[in-house]
This record gives sequence, C-alpha cells and structure tokens, in this order.
Amino acid sequence: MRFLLPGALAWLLLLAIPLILHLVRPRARAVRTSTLAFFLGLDRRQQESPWLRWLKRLLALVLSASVVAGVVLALSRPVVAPSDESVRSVVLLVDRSASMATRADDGRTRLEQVVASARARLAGLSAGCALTIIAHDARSDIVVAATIDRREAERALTALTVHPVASDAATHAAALALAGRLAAAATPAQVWDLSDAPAADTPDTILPGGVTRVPLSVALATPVNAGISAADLRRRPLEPGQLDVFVEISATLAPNTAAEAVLVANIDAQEVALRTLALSADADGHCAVQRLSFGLDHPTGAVLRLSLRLTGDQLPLDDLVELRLPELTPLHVLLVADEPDPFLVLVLAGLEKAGGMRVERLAPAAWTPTTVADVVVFHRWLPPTWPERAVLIVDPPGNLSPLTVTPITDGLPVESPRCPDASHPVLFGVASARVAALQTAVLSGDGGLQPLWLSPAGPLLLAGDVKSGRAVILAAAPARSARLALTAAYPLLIANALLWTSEPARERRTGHRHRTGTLLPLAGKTLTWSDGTAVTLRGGMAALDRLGSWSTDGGDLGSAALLSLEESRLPRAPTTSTAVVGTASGDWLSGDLLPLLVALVFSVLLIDAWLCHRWGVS
Amino acid sequence: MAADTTVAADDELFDPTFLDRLRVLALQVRRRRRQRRQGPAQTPAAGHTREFKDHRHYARGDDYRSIDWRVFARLDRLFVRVFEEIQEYHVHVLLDCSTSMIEPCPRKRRDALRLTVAIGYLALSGGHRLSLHSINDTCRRELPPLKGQGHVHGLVEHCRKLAFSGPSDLAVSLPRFSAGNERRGIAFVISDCLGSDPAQALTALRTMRSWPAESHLIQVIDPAERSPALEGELRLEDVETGEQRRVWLTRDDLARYRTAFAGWCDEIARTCASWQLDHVAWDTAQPFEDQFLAFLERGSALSGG
Repeated sequence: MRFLLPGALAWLLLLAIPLILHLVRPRARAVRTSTLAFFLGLDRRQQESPWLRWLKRLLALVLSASVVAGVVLALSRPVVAPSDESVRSVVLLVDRSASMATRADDGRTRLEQVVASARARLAGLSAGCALTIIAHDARSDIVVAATIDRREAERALTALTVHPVASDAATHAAALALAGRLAAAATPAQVWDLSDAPAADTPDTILPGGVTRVPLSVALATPVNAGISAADLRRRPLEPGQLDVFVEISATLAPNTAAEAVLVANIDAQEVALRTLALSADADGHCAVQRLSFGLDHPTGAVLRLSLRLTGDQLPLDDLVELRLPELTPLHVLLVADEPDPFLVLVLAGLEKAGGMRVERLAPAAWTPTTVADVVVFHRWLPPTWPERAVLIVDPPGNLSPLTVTPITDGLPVESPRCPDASHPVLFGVASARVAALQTAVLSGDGGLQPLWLSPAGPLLLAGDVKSGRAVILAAAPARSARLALTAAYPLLIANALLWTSEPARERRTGHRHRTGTLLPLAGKTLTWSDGTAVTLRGGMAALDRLGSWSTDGGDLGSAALLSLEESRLPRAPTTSTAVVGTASGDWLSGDLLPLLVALVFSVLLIDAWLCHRWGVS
Repeated sequence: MAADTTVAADDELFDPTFLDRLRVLALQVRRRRRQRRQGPAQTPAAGHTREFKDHRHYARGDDYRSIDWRVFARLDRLFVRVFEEIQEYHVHVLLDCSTSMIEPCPRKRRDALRLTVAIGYLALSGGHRLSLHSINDTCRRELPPLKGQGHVHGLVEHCRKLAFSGPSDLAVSLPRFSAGNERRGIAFVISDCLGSDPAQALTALRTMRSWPAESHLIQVIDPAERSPALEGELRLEDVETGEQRRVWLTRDDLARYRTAFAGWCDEIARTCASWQLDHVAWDTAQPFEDQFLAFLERGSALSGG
C-alpha cells in the first residue's frame, strides 16, 4: 500500500487529542453518601459496574481514534497498487475504434471495460506520475497531455466514446509510436496499450528506450459478430437501369460453431432483397468471408439500407450500411478522334443504343478543354495538356505527362495478359485470360496510374487517378486485335472504363460512399446526417465519424459506413493471455482506498452515535 | 468504618452559651406548662408522696397502713389519708450513632447531640430519670439511669465522647432496647433512619409501637441528603457499608432522587402516624431552638403536655 499524499499522514498527530482527552478527562468525583439506596433506584445506566464503565471508555477511545485515523488516512489517499510500478509518466493509449463497442454478456462495452480497468490501475500510481491519454482509431488524438491531475485524467477517460471508425495494425502502430514519443519525455515510462487487440500483436520495438509497453487487452474469449465488411453499388455496364449490389460479410463465432445470418436490403423502408447466409466458424472462431451480390432493377429511391442480423451479435456498428443510389441517367461521352477505330465506334454506338450513354464526336481540331462531358475518349490523339476530367485513352500516339508511351513498331501480339489486380472494377467481368491483343506501346505513368494488363514488353492497360480525374489508358489497336475487338471482353472493358472513370463526377451528384473516418472537403456550412444530427463544417472539411447517409447545405451528398474486415472480425482473447485488464477488479482491496475509508469513517460515526445514545458510551 | 467522631466540632456542639440557652428553653417550657395548669385538667391521681392531700372513708382493700388512727380515736370511724401523687418519668434517649449521622453531613451529629442534651436537661431538671442508649447495628446503654440536675454536666461530657461509627440497622437495634419496666416512660429515638436499606426502617418502627412508653421519632435529615448538589460522573461511596458505585447523574436523575427521598420521608411520617408514634422531621439547616420549642409544643409528657 502506498499513499498518494504521504504528507497528510502528519495529521495522525491528531490522534493525541482523543488519547489526551481520554487520559486527562475529569475523573469521577468521589462523593460519600449516607446511603446508596436512592441512587441505586435510578436508571439502570447508573448501575454500571466499574469494569463495564472502563470498557465503555476504552471503546469510546477506540472509536474516536478510529474516526481521526480514518479521516487522516483518507486525506493521505492510500492506494493498493495492483503491481509495484515506479514510473515517472504513463501514456494511456486507448483504442476507441468500432470494435471497442462490442458488448460483453455483462452489458459493458470493451471501451467501458478499458476505462474502468484503467481507472483502477491509475489509483496505483504515485501522485507525481504524469499521465497522458491518447485515443486512437484511424487517427490518434491526444485527449490529455501530461498532467498530474488525476481527476482530469479520470474525467477524460470517462468522457471517451467509441468512434465507428476502423483501425488497423498500421494506425495502431502509429498511435503507439506517438505514445512512445510522448512517454519518452519522462522516463522510466509506460505505455498502457488499452485495446481489444491481442496483447502480442504489436511489437515493442517502435518504443524508445526507457518506455515499456504494457499491453492490456480486453478481447472477449468468445466474441460473436457478423458484419458487413464491404458494400458497393455498380451500374451494369451493358444494362442501363440495372444495379448490382456487392456485399461482403465477415463473421466471428464461437469456435467450431455455425450460425445463420440474414441480410436485408431496403430502399426507403421497402424491402427489396433478403439473403440468408450460413456461417461456420473454424477452430479459431473465424468464418470465411462471404461475398454476395444481387441486382436491383430500376430502383427508385435515394438510399439503399443494408442491415445484417445475427443472433447474439455483440457489435452493432458493422451491421448497418446505407448507400446512396447512383443516378441512372445516360453517361455523356465525348469521342475525340480523327479517324476513330471502328470497333470503338461500334462499342460506343451499341452502348448508346442500349440507352446507357450519349455519345458525341469531336474533331481534334475543335478540341477545347471546356467541353462538358462525363468522360472524354481519345483515340490516337491526345490534347496538349492532360484534361481536368475523366478520360479513356485508346491507343495513345505519344507522351502526355504524366503518361509515358513507348511505341512498339508493328505492335506486339499479346495473349492472356497478366493481371496484377484482377478485381479492379475496370476488369469486372472481363475474361482477361481469353484476351489476345496487339500491343501498340508500352505504357508507364507516374502517380496513381496502376497497370492492369501486363505483357512481356510492359503494361498495356493502365488505370488510376491523374490530376483531378480518373483515367484508363489502353495501348492496343482494336482494329488489329481480332480476339479483342470481337469478343465480349472489349465492350465490357470499354463500358467498365467509362463507368469507372466517370464515377467520381457522378458521385458528386448522387452521393459519395465512404468509410467512416474519412476526412472530406465539402461544400456548405452544415452537414446533416440521416439521423438528424447536424454538424458545422469547419474550414470546409468534415470527418465522417458516424454511420449513415448525409447531406450538406452546399449540395453534397454521401454516406458513411464502417466497412472494415478488421473491425468485423473481432479479436479473440488468447486462452493463455498474460496481460489481461482487470487485475484490480478481481482484488477488492486494491486501487484507491478513499471510498472504503470514507465508508469506514461513516460507519464508525454511526456506531459511535448509536452506542452513545443507546448504551451511554461516551 | 469507624470515624473519629468524638472531637469533631465540639465547640459547636456545646458552646458556652448552649447550656444557658438550654436553661432558658427549660424555663420557657415550664412557663408554658404552668400556663396550661391553670386550666381544669389537673390530674386526680393520688400517690404516696409526703404531701398530704385529704381524708376519705376506709374501704375494704385499702392499705391499712394509711389509716389515720388519730381520727379513728376521735371519731371512731376509719379514715385513710390521701397523699399528693407526684409522677416521675423514665426518659429514654436512643441516639443513632451510626456513621451516616456524622458523614457526610456532620450537622446531623451536632443536632442529634444537642437534642440529646436538651432532652436530658429537661428530664433531669424536671426530676425525671434519664437513660441514654446508643444505637447503630445494636443497642448499647451509654449511661446508667440518671436523676437529678447535677448529672447534666456528666451527660454533656459523655455526649462529647460518643463515637459515631458502624452501620445503622434499626431493625436489629430497636428490638434490643431493654425490655421490662424500664421501658415505661418516654422514649426518644433520634436517628436519620438511613441504612443499607431504608425501607427496613419502616418495618423497624413497628417495634416502637409495642413499647409501653410515649415514643417519639426525631428523624434528623440534612438538606444535602434531601437534595444533593451532585451532577455528572461520580464515584459514590456508602459511608456505612463502604460500597462504591460509579454513576452518571443528570438533572433528571436528581429530580427522581429528590422525589424518591421525599416519598420515603413521607412514608415514614405516615407509618408513624398510623402507629401512634410521634414523628418529627428535624432539619439541620433550621435553628435549633425554634425546632426544639416547636417539637415540645407538639405535646409530650416531658413538656407536661
């Protein structure tokens, strides 16, 4: 046991007061009387025997001394530390990500458990130990910076709330590094890593010398959760008016158990789809990620609401996703070419005929950067500068920064180009293995351009963000690539490219879909969430720290969802964990003894009062 | 627990003026007695003193020694001489010499001794016989029967030397008061009636009822006993038994004490009245002469009443 304010123990000298009063209190005056008979007939209290009187006095002395000692001890703040730590500073790294909202059987969230345990451990620190509190999810916030005010720290801890934001090992490592830097200001120091992550997940090597990481995990032994870890909407490239909904489900169950989850899709409170998923956990409790999609035929409404139900689900934050439906108006495509490739013209004409887009043609001589279109398609011609919009470049004739084009004389036949990222939306539905094309150049680009098809000579299909728009560059001559132009892959590739490149512009009109935690530049002054909560935009920026759809008074629309595989797949406490929060909660005589002493003092006072009035102990 | 009771406040007991005042008291008593004798209530009793009173016819059974033979010689008829009857009382003074009569209120001893001397003076000066007994847990004759005023000084000297000690037990001491013809006369019991069990005093007084004497109980009580000025934590000690008790007295407790003590005194007075015993509540705080005169005026053979 230690005393946070040991100087207050000097007040124990006050114990001398009741002792002196006991010793020097007026002795009973000796009085000789003619007879005791009339005194003996008085109250029974007057007939106490000397030893009983002595016992009562001794009891009164003990009680009064107990009150004085209890008050003094309470003032000196005795604490029983769970461990004998002598550190100069402690940084509390508190995980406030979505998974910390997991409720155990006792109804407490992981964050509440962490806060309670941290408060219990704080009581064991010396009064001079500086405390810093960092709360982290996708980003880290210093909630309390190096203070010795224990009440301030406890208030800050109590005020922490779970953010429906995902965190991962990288963000956790960044937060840990920040905590290490702060803790290094006064060593020896400790970083209490309060999280639901398994204790051994993060190495201690990122901490500076003199700083020790104390992993305190509150992971549940058998978490149960199923969540939507990914969701998206896509227009079907070749079927205007049709939408595909893609959903990814991640789940954690008790080891070697099975369960059934239900996914319900609603548009404006009308159920449009219902899917049942059979979940089966392995020996670690993890379920295989399940991906499913379903179509929506000419949906009418603004928001698609996906909700996942699982009996015993302990984390509700990943069970709900709201997605704003994209507008189904035809794309405006501007084709800029002297002599456009006939197969390209054929593809665009087919898409226009299906109603999915509206195609205009423009001669390169008439090119002006102010042309309004969702996507501009360049064929064997490039403008002097990169246009500030979405572009699809087919068979680029030369370089255009940041695109570098190395022509291949006579072309290079390529069959089954290698796909570094087959899941890219541009390649959705495209059977790349069946593709045979004549590569006309080797592409390379700086920045965000990513190769999607690779030949032995180099990339022939690039996609990525360039300046303020998306771009897809195809270095192939459709007219000389029979197996490309005549297969279904080509129109699908072109349609995918047109939809993907135009997606940011369309989302600005129909609503962004973001993961929570994203920091967005938005127009307007107020952001209003679907639950009615209004947030004032500061500096034109907003952090999406809620779930649901939102809009701004500047006309921006969007939605935010957790959509995190790491958060939905709840960590499971190892059976042999050596660092588990709650050592203080199991030991009743630990932590701050102030409440116990106050209770004892009041009890003694009550007993004293009762004895004084009932039995004359005074 | 014996107490040194023989020398305490002797000067206060019998100061030089006390006997003078006692003579004045005796004169006052006689004057009042003479004033009462002017009435028709003179006693018709005849006795065998030398004072001739009258003749009357002889009747059978008369003592033939009282026949006046000279009158028989002249008148040839038998007459007997009748003499004046002079009554002589045997005055018994039973003085409580227990410790409680001197502690914690020494004024009780002073007044008790003064009462003894005053009664004795009246008895001796009135030609009565006086006996002095001390009582505590027994009854002891202190002096042989005295007669004649010349014994007053001896009485005073003896009273000076009386020791007050031991517990008081009227239930034992009063029955031991010597029986027989000696018990005729006037008995004065001077006591506080306090003991280990005051209630026993009531029973003990029954003994006085059987005495063939005019019995008086002079209960000497000090105001400090009626209403003690005590409060708070005390260690009380019974002066007679030595028993100690620690008590915590409040004003309410004292009020109950006063009520109980007064009730006990009243009970003694009622008991005495019911058994035709004269009861005098003697207050040591009151002037002696006033109380003594008032006591005699209540009526006593000693005062001619």
